[in-house]
Amino acid sequence: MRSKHAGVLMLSLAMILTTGCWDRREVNDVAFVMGTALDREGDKYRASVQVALPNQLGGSSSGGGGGGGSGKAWALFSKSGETIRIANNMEQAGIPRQLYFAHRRTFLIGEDMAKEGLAPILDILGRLPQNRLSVFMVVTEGPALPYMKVTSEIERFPSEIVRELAAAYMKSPVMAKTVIHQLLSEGVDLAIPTARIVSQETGKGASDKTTIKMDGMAVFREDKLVKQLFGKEAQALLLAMGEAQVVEVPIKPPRGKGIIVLRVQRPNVKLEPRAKEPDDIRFVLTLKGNAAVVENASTFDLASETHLHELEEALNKELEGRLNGLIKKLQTEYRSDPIGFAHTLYYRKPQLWRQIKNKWEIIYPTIKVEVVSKMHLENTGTVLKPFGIQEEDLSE
Amino acid sequence: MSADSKQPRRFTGDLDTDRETVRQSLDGISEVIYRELTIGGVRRAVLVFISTNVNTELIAKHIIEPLQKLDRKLAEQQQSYGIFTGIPIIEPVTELRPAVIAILSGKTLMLTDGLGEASLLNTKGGEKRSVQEPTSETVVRGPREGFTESLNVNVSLVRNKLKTTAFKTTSFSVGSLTKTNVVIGYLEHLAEPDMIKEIKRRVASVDMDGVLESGYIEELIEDNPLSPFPQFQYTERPDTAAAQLLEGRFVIFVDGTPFVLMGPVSAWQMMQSSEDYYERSIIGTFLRWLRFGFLMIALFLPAVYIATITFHHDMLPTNLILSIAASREAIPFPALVEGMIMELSFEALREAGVRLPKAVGSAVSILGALVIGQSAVQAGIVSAPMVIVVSLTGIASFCLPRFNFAITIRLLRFPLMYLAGILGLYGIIIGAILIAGHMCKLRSVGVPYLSGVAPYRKSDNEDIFVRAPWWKHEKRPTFLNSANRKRMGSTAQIDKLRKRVPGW
Repeated sequence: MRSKHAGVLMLSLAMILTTGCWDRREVNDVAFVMGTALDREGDKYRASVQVALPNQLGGSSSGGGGGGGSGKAWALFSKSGETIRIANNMEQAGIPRQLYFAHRRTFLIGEDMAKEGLAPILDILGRLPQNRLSVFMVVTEGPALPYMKVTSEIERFPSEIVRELAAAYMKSPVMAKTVIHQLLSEGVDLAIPTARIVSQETGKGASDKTTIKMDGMAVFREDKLVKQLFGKEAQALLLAMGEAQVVEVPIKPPRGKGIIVLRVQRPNVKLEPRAKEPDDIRFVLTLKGNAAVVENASTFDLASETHLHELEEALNKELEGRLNGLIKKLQTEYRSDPIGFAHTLYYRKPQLWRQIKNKWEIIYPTIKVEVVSKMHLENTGTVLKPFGIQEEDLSE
Repeated sequence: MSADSKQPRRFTGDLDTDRETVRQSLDGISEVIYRELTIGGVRRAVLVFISTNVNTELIAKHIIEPLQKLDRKLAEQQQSYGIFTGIPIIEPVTELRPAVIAILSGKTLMLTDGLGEASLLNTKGGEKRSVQEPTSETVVRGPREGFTESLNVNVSLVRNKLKTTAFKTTSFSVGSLTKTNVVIGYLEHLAEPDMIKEIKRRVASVDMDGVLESGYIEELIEDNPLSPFPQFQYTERPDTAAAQLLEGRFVIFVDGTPFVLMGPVSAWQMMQSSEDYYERSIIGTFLRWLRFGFLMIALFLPAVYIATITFHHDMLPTNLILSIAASREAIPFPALVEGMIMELSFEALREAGVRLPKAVGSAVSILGALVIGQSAVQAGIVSAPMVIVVSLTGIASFCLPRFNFAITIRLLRFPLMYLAGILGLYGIIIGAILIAGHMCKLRSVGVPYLSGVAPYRKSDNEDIFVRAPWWKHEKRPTFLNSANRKRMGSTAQIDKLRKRVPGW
């Protein structure tokens, strides 16, 4: 009896002790990938990974009151290979720590890569659980690699800049899972935020320090990039998609000189199909929301209500104009449907959609979209009349 | 002699013979005093007592003086003289053995010439500690009195709180050499009779040479001696003991220790402090939640930390894992070893703090704070996050109100850390399942250890995770199976008892 017990004890001890820690991977044995940039290089993929360097992050281990490392807190490894995984493996061969992708939050796609199509990227993102589907997808203007090298003075990593910008750019930022969802849903095309590299300062004597600016939208047809929109156009697309966070619109007042800057807050979009026949498809796109005056650099008097109504009218005209221009371009020039007209038909008029599904390519440029902007000017700030202008100089 | 040893030695009535037999029994004990006196000037008597254990003033004033001044005629007629002394507790004794034991426990034996029956006069004295504030269970609000080393004082402290004839006590003498007095107390109409019978059987069957503390008995009468979990609760507070009695439990007083055993217990009781009931219920509930939260931290935090930074790096926010990685950059040990080193040195510090004389105690805390808190981190032996985890765990374990339960939790932390180090979160879950399974199986005097939750009783949950206000707290715990469940208002059982027992 005693020997039997001893035997069981020895066996279980051996089982516990000799297993070792076969998949033990301490926090110092891994290299945390903070961001990936993907480019097309001939028929190869260039995958660049940005890895955090913890010893440069100013831990307490260095002694003498922390203080933070002097060098940059990241390292960049870039290799090209037949597939993304092959490129990653080649990088891994030169890194003493194991690449660890679970903390990656930014995924940059170069312009050429996006034009080739996103399908090959999505496979590796979905297949390995370590690759999080909540990674922010951003298309870059030109190749993506330089974005990993911009000077990051505010954030610790360049990829962190992209992450913060992408998180604030849209109401529901585009992540890998959104991309997959959009590609698989019927009747909507992909639109991914686009970043570009700009100089930190402009004008005479500006230093050559660069930073990343997020002010564009890449419009896709299926999984291929057709056009990168920037500035006002990108803003209009975000408005039409209902994804815009805050849009500031400079308006020329109806009378007087100068410019008034209005801020559109919480814009809301409603897309209403008015379609009965396949050859007469119309949509009403209603834009609702509040607007506020954030700057009045004009002589226009905002203290009277009629003036506010006039300003509201001007704002609505401006927004309608922008959206109409954009939608026309999307229909005829880019032939892409990121706003989801077809999607709306699919949901709201399924029978009609089934009839025209195969002809949509031809029908799409012909549909009529009526844009109605119903912005309400609510807030003029804490100042009624512009400072520094005599009352008699204000325009009536 | 062999015939003698079978037959108990009795007193003969011949003073010199009896005195000699007692003297032989007490041979070699230098403190024994044989005081001769003549009762009323006619009858010789001898008082035998141990000078260090008796109140000599009492003997002089209330035994010797009245007996010597006794009227001669009265003295000649009497067959027993106990009633003429000023001692309230007197027992007759005819056999040698009980007489000798009584002398050793501080009584005075009075042998009288011509009488076969001697008297034992209770003259117990000697130094006693007064009732003081309990040091091991302090409260902000609540009674300040604590049990002492004297069993009589302890029982009286509880009886002062329960002025009812239903508070029954049964006395045992345990320990062949120490003859320790052990008293089991319970409320007759509340405690389950079978349970009382069982606990009496267990205490009566204790057979060892010495019982110096209630812990001796606790270990001999618990249901599962190999379990790390305590199956009895001990307290230094009479109010806690009374509260347990009122819920239908029993208490075991052991002479010579201020710690009173109570049972049966459930794990939930180990998370309760007497102050939960003295403060308002919202505060009591908040404190209880705080304790449950810190119980989880005390048990799992180091294990979860080790598992996370050894296997599951994806579970922490990016910035946090980067900070941890930065502070671990120069650490030579794996997280498990680092954790073990720190936890063991914390336990050593705690132990040193308890055992050391108070004057040296502050030196330990300085050393601990400086050596472990600062130098170890600066030297790169341990990482700062680990120090934070260990200190948080330490504080958490001090939040648990019952010391014996807290030390169990501290003990179980080590196997959990080990499991976390080799199997990650999977190992922690295995460990947690094993602990939960063991707790489900465990019994305290036949009562399931997780009573109220497993098996689930709705009414018991008024006093497990919350402390329901007293006006909502009408029922006693069901798991004690007491006949009389209602706390509030008169109940049929009490009415029945009133009829049956006069003066109830």
